[in-house]
Amino acid sequence: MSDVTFKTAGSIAAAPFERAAGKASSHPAAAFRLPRWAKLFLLGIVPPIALLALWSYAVHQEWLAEQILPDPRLVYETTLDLLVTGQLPAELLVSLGRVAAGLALGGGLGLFFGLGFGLFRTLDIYVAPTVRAICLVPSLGWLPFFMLVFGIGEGLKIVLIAKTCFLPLMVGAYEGIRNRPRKYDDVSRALEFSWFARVRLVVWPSILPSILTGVRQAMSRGWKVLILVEMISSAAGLGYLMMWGRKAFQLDVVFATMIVIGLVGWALDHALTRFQHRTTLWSFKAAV
Amino acid sequence: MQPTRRTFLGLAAAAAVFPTTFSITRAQSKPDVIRLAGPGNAAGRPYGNGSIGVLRGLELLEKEFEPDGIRIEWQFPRGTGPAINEAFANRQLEFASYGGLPNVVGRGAGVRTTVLAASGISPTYVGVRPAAGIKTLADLKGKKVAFQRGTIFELSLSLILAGVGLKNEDVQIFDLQGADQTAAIQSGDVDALLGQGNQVLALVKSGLVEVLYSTKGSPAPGSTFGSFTVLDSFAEANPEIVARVLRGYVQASHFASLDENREKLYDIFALTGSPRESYVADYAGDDLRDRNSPLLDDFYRANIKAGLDFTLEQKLVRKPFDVDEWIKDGLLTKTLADLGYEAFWTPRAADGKAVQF
Repeated sequence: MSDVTFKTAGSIAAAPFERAAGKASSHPAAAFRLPRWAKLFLLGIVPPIALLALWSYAVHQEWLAEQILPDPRLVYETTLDLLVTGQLPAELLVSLGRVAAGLALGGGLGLFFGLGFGLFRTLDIYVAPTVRAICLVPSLGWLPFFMLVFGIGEGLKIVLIAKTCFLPLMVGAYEGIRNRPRKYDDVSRALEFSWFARVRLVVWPSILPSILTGVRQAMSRGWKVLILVEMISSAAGLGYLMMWGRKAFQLDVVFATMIVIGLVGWALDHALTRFQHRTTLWSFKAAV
Repeated sequence: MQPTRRTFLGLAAAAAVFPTTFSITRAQSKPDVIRLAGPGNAAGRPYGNGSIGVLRGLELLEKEFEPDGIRIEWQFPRGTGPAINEAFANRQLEFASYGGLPNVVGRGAGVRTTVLAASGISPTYVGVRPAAGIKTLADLKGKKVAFQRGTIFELSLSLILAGVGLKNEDVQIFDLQGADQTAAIQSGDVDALLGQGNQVLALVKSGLVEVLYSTKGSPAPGSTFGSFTVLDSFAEANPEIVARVLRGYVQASHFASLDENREKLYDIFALTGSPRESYVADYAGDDLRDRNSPLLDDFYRANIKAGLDFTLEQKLVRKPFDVDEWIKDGLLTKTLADLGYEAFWTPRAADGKAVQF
């Protein structure tokens, strides 16, 4: 899961392959042609396959003890087993629920504060520095204190995720309002919009891209911190499953969990990116 | 640089070739260091309890191997048994004395070790938060219980709960390390905890918990046991060193079993950072020979077998292994004879009672 913004991710993903595809088609030796999507797919699976090959090779050569670096086939079997027994889906649901709750709470508050700081200069001057300073203490730094205040139950996890999700959305909303092109206001003034119509038709759409970027970052960070906090104190969830795998000295369970965490994290990010692209497509095309 | 398909594939090919350019050599020569481990403590200090703690405290091995120029390194990881298994698998350890459950789990996962001697036994205490309203073991049903998972307490809890017809699944288990357990009890997040005397009794003294139940003074199921093990590859290459280390270990067990050393023992154990009084209370009235016996007797074997059955049932170990092949008592018997300790410890039958001659 990367924190890169959509624009860079998009340009890197699209540009080189299109160029390469163009070159290949003009080449005289290219007798048979794969459809473009197949080429992209084949190139896309090269890194995972290479990683898998390296992994298998490392296991085969016993670079590490088999108990430390399990055979990929064993990890595959374990993953299937965990899926079939329903344990993995159950833990995944618990984890997703926690992220959703944390994102809703922290993200909502972040949005609220970000909009507040963006709209009211006084708040921005007097309150924002304190809030930002508090947020800049890493989540892990807050953990011992949070543990004493919120205990080790569900509350701790949601608060910690909420804390992590707060900053990206606050910054997103704030920057969205601050960096909004002023000419939009001129347009709405010229059209003599009411206050409500101005917010609905001009202000909100113009800050939406920035907010959605904030949501993506919040989701990505929240997902990571969730696994962390589940590893420290939990009786359910993916992080717990991972920790349990380690305690039981079954590293294949740990690897299976890692793969699921990575894939689910990627899928969430990808889905949000698609959503962002769909809802605010204009912002990627429009010249500001 | 703009990544093109060609550079990308080139890099991928280079990455694929890379592994063949080196290999790890495992040269076997006379060791210049012997690494030993025991379960860690809440304070994180490099000292331990029981025979391994005495071996460390008296520096018997340091003196033994000084003429050979062999250093002794000690590890007492906070992650206790599971962490020791990882160190064994990574060949970062030669010897360790740790809990019976991670012992079995490690061997079951294929870490090639051999049992040289027993670690001795130690009572398990169930401490409860006074306000939690737990008066009997049966009251634990549905309550939140904290201990370090993957350790011997997993088995202890199962055996203790079995006495009142409950299972581990009937309580909510929280996997917490020493210091976090204290915080969780303090904040009221967990209702009970499982541990050895030095930990639970220290909390009793500070008024955080009351002892609900303990396996003290009886061979009741649920006491912790463990093994002193050696990494097979090391033992095969250095049989003479193994014999000398085991000799030191048995001497430490002997020291720890003599009642005249009781006060000195407490001093050594207190180096772990746990309060000395907690050891005094934990050992009060106990025959030290019962607590620190290195014998691989029927009691020890029955405990290990119960541990294996439990780990298989809990899927902590996937395929069973031959316990009797893992436990090699030949060297211990010889060491006991060499030191003249044959009759010092009384072997116990499977039920924990002394064997009558």
